[in-house]
This record gives sequence, C-alpha cells and structure tokens, in this order.
Amino acid sequence: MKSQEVIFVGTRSGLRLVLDAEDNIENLKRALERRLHEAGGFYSGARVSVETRGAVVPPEWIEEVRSVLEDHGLWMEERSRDAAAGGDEVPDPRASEPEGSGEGQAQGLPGADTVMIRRSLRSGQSVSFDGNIVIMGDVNPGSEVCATGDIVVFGCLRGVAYAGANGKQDARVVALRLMPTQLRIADRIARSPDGEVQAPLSPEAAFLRDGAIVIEPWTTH
Amino acid sequence: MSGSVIVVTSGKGGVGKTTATASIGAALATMGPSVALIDADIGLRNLDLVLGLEGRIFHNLVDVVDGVVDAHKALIRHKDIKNLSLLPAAQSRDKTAVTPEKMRAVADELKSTFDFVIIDCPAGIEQGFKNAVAGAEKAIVVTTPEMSAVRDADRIIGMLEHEGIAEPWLIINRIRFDMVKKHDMLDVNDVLEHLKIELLGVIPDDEAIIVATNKGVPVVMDEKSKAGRAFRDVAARIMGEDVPMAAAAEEEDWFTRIIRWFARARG
Repeated sequence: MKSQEVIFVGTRSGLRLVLDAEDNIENLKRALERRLHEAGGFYSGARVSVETRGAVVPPEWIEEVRSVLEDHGLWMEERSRDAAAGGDEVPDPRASEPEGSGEGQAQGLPGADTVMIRRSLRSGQSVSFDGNIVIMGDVNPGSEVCATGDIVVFGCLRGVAYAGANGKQDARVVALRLMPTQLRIADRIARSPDGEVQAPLSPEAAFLRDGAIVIEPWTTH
Repeated sequence: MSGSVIVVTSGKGGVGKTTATASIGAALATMGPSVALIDADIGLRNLDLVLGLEGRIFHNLVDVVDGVVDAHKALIRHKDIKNLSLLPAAQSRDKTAVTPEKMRAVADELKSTFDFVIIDCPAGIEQGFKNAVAGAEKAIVVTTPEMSAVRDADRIIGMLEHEGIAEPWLIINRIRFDMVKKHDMLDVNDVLEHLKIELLGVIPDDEAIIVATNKGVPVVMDEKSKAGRAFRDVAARIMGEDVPMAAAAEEEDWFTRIIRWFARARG
C-alpha cells in the first residue's frame, strides 16, 4: 500500500484533499482516518475541498469521504461542478467575442489558485483565471490566455499570453517553446520580432526586469 | 442500414471545399458506395456547377427544409456516376432559411439510404457553418499551406470540438512541392505540427482542377491528373484502406532525377 494516498494541501481559503482515483475507497478511507487521527484534531473545523486525480472518482466515494471528514469535525465544500472537480476546464470558443460575457472564465478548484487545462487552445479560444494557469498542450496563434498570476505552458505558446493581469509585477510566463504573438506582463506589452521566428530549442521564461519584458532560458534558480 | 455523414469545412473561403466535396464524393461513388452530396452554401451555390449539374436543378435544400418536397425527391442523380446524387442549395435565399435542427433531419433522412452523405459547408463560422455541421458525425477540414488558412482551420477545429465532432480529418490542398523545397511554402509537417489532427490527404496544386471545374467534370475522372489521383487516395482512406501518402514530393521528372544522380556521383 502506498503511503501517499491521502494528500492535504493548504491553500488560502482552506484545505484541499487530493484523492487518487486509481486507489480503492477502503484504502482511501483507512488512510484518511489514520491521517486525521495522527493530526489529533489539528484539522478540526477546517474547510476541505476535494480534488480527484486520475480517472473519474465515483460519486459514492465522495460521500464516503464526506462522512469520514465530518466524523473528525471537518466539513467538505460542495464541489462546484464536475468539470471543475476534474480540473479539465473546456474553454468555450464563443468566449472570444470581445464583449465576452465571462464565458471561457476557467473554473478553478474551490480554494485553489491554479487552474490546469489538459488540452490545447485553438484559434479563437481563450481562457482567463484569477490565479495561475497551467496548460498541458499548445496555445495556438489566435488564442489567448489571461491570468492574474503566472502562466505555464507545457507545449508551444504561439498565441497571446497575459500574466499578472491585475498588475502583479513578478508574474511570469513560462513555456516549453515560447514564441508568442504577444506577451503582456502586468502593464507591459511585448511582441515577437517581425519576420520569421526561429523556434527556441529549450524552455524559456518571460518576466519583468527594470520595467521591461525580458526572456531568458528557463532555469530553476 | 445507416451511412455516415461527413461535413467538409475550412473556415476560410477559397481553399477548395467545394472541389474537395465534389472530388471525394465522385471518387467514393465510383468505388461502389452510394453517395449523396448536400450543398449547404445557401445563396452562393457552386457544387452543382462543379459537378456539371446546374441545368438539372429543380428542387433544392430549402424546398426540402420547408417541406415542399421530400429529400429523396429533390436529389439530382449525376449524369455519369450513377451512385452519386446531389441536393443543391437554393440560390435565391440565404443561410437563415435553414436551421441546424432541420439540417440534421435532412442528413438523417438521407443517411438511411446512402452509404455516405457529404455536406459542403460554406465559408465562415456563422449560421451557415452551424447548419452544415449539425447533422455531421465526422468532419474533413480543408486547408492550404498558408498561415491564414491554417489559422482559420485551427479555429474551425476548435469549433467542431465544441459541436461535438472531435478528431476531424485534415486535407492539405494545393500544395506546391517545388515551392516547399525552396522553403517558400509551409510543408505538410509545418501544418500538421500546428493543427495536430489526422492527415487524410495532400492534394498537389494542379491546373487540371481548374479545367475540370470549368467543364463540370470531377477531377477524379481525369486519370492523368495528380490532384485527381490524390483525391482517389483520400476516398480509399475514407473507405478504410491503408493507402500510403503518395510521396508526390518525390515524384520528380526523369530529367531532374538524372541531374541529381550526377550531382551525387560527382559530390
């Protein structure tokens, strides 16, 4: 039995519980009981949002988990909706309309400040989120990503990326291949040089230095 | 029996949707299956012209949608290819004359008797697009190797996903291998790298298309045309045959090949 089936993550607005769907519910319950027992009432009264990992977790599991949590004086947050719980926000193509009525607004997990998008953004699709955005896919030209925090693209970023949308000066944009149409960080805008752009060979990060957007190879300082 | 409904779309105009629809339809029909083509480009109908059936139109798609006539009655049988039929668009109306629900009903009715129903989608992403894709289960996205067309294809693929048509096929039309070689044109890999969907065919730029279109004879009937052959390959792939992508790029004339051979021998 793995020791890590139950993971608690602290966030600004409470605790987040990560369930591994590959496991079985009896193991999970046992591990959760043990974890809560060890904590000795430390978590009591906390709000917990439940996140699932791997395949879709059957709804009965959630109810089981809820009862365990409640036995220990924790209370579970209502999951806003299934798509959010799966972390697989599907950006709505219609959100591209300039007057966009908030569609394409990514739904993060309750309490989480990062949203994960497990697909590519195609032309005309856009995603915006109050927090960080991680995209496991490409961001194609004609699409837009807007985050108040950082943007990480595990793929090729060729569209428009706007990090630190509320003015956060230390926001970053990181991509495996950073070749955006346009980059905005806080109140600064940069665009790719005209003409043919060579694809970068390694991951790069864009950030503000002395009030200008600079791009450097990504390192983990 | 129930056939499959395929929409041919692109976003951008002028990339060869109508030519592709006519060519694939004709190629499929000559291989055996029965094919019905629907021209969903209401107000700008062309498919009848490309097939050489303009003079035979009596009823059209809008008549069918309005309930004036049954879908099967409105079909025009192709003069040379007996398995091929066309439901033409209306020329005097516009896209608002049809709704997605009604379009789906027409497609459903036709697929009960045809092996393939192929819908020629109008350019754009508005009502006409939504009508055309409503009844489709599968989509063929046509693009040319130009950034503007590829960008629009990307947008269309996103919209198809939104309409529930995932994993569309891609046709790269009007490629010029001489230009690709000189890096003056995007090559197949550039386009695939960007769009990341399954490639159904690469159609070389071919004057025979223009001749065929003007004459109203599908280019696949021209044995010598490279584009015709490429479209026949596309049809075979739709039928599930494993046809290798014709390496038309390698198809150099004998003169170039000898020069190259000499160059290599000397180098």
